[in-house]
Amino acid sequence: MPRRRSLATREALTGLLLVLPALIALGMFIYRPLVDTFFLAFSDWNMVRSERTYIGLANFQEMAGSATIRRAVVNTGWYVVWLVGLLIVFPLFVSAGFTVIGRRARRFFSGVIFAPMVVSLGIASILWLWIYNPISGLSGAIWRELGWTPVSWLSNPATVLGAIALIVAWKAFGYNMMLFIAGMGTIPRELIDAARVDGADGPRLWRYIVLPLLAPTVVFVLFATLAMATEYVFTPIHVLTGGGPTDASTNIVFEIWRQAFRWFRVGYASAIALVVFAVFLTITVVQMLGSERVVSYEER
Amino acid sequence: MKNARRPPRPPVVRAERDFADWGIDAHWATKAAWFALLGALTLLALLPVAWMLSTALKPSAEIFASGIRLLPANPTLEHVLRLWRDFPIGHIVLNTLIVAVGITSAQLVTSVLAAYGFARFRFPLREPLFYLCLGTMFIPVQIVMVSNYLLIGEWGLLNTHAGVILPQVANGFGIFLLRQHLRVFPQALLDAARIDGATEVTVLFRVVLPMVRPVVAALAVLFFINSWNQYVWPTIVLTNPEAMTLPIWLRQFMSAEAGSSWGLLMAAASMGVLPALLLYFAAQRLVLGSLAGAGLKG
Repeated sequence: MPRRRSLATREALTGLLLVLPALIALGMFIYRPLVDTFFLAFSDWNMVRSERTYIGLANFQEMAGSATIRRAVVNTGWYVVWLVGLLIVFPLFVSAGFTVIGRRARRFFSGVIFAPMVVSLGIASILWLWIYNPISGLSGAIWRELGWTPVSWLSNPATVLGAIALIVAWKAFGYNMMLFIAGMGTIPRELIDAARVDGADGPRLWRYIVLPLLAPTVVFVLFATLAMATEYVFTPIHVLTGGGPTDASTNIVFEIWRQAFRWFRVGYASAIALVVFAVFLTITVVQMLGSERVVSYEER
Repeated sequence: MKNARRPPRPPVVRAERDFADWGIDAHWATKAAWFALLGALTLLALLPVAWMLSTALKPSAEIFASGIRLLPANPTLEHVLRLWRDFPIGHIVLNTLIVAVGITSAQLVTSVLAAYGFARFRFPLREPLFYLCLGTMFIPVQIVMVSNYLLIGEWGLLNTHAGVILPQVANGFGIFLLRQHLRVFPQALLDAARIDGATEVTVLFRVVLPMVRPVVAALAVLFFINSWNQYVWPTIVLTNPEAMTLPIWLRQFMSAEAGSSWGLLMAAASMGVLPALLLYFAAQRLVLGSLAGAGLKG
């Protein structure tokens, strides 16, 4: 008996020792900052002064009344709309094309369409800056070729948001498409064949068989894209526009950076971060509950 | 006959394909339309990279000439040579390599150790601790960057590569993926090795690691590409051009020196894009095969 216990203790100690490095690192640089952000959010501090002053809810009140924050929230919503269209609806449609082509064509197209995913978003932003350039860039040349006046995509408040969303969509399109293709691969072939025997083909096959069975994948990709629409667009904004012209391209995550590293308002930036975190947490929890329901629908 | 039930496929073929090809007998016009769309998307995916390479190889006069010319008429290495002669691009690439290798190797070590611990050992609080690791995948870097910046500053690590690497020595996704693979590993193999007198270290390196080598290799590629490409955290830590990694330096280079010298700028961009693309195409099947649904960021 004592010998068995000592074996169990040794196993526990070895296990803990193995997970310890990761736990320390993640605790130190993910969970500690989360807690720290919580306290900073209720204080006023500029990185220079030695003490942080507790100011209660003042940061949150300022957020609620700020026109820039309101603009950033509205823009975040528009980024979501753009990216749901470009990164959910469109790739879902394109993935249908992969059911009609052979294995070699499938491998070629998916391999190349996925490739932009490995290009740094920071560098991709500069590649697109060059394409967007109205004077000597590719889009300017195409526009002139067509007899139109070249558009200055990034300095026009009406187009800047879509232009930035397109950069992110270019990078992540193939990734989402692959997820949809993988999801379709898990649909049992027998179901498709049976539905066809029953006369379901073309659009009806998709409407009644494929899309319902693909629902878990779509829900997963949708929520991943919601998070990404907020997180990814930070980089092109930072590289190209700095949130401008006049806040037309800023988003809520970029405001965290701007307040902390442009104006050194650490407390205020932390308050924004805390709200963003609360929203992300809600989305993640909703996703977990939601995907359970969708999955059980599939099994019924 | 389109809807006729096909004969059952032999099992070998079934194992070969885990993809959907139920439209394979579609009408040729339908197929042609899909091929056209996929072809257009392929071109669109390649276009910014092709335009980058073309610009980098064009003489300046051609870059600013009117009209659209995808391929350079008189390809030249003048921008590439000038980049290497007049600017510290070699130094910048080395910085990027140091940071990427540092992050990759640290994340591999901590992921393998933690995944093995979570998958094969019983200890108190194992499940909650694992979910804490998993949860870090869902926290955007922008939420923790302010506090981490303050800490890294306190430690005097701003503008150092250690300051970039240190907050990223562990990776929730790596732990998660490896644990999935280590869980299905036959316990008898581990026990047999232990009965033969192998130490835990030997078991890990001689029995466990060889079995999951493809996953570890795929993770290594993924971690490397992600850290090679990284922008958000390095841009906060590295403000001194001497220490910058390529994506950060490129932006700095654009606003400070290269200005509208697009040939120079695109030659520099190629230094960041091409290694990642080559690595991807070389390891494509490994990565896509092992990760199916993994998170590439950056």
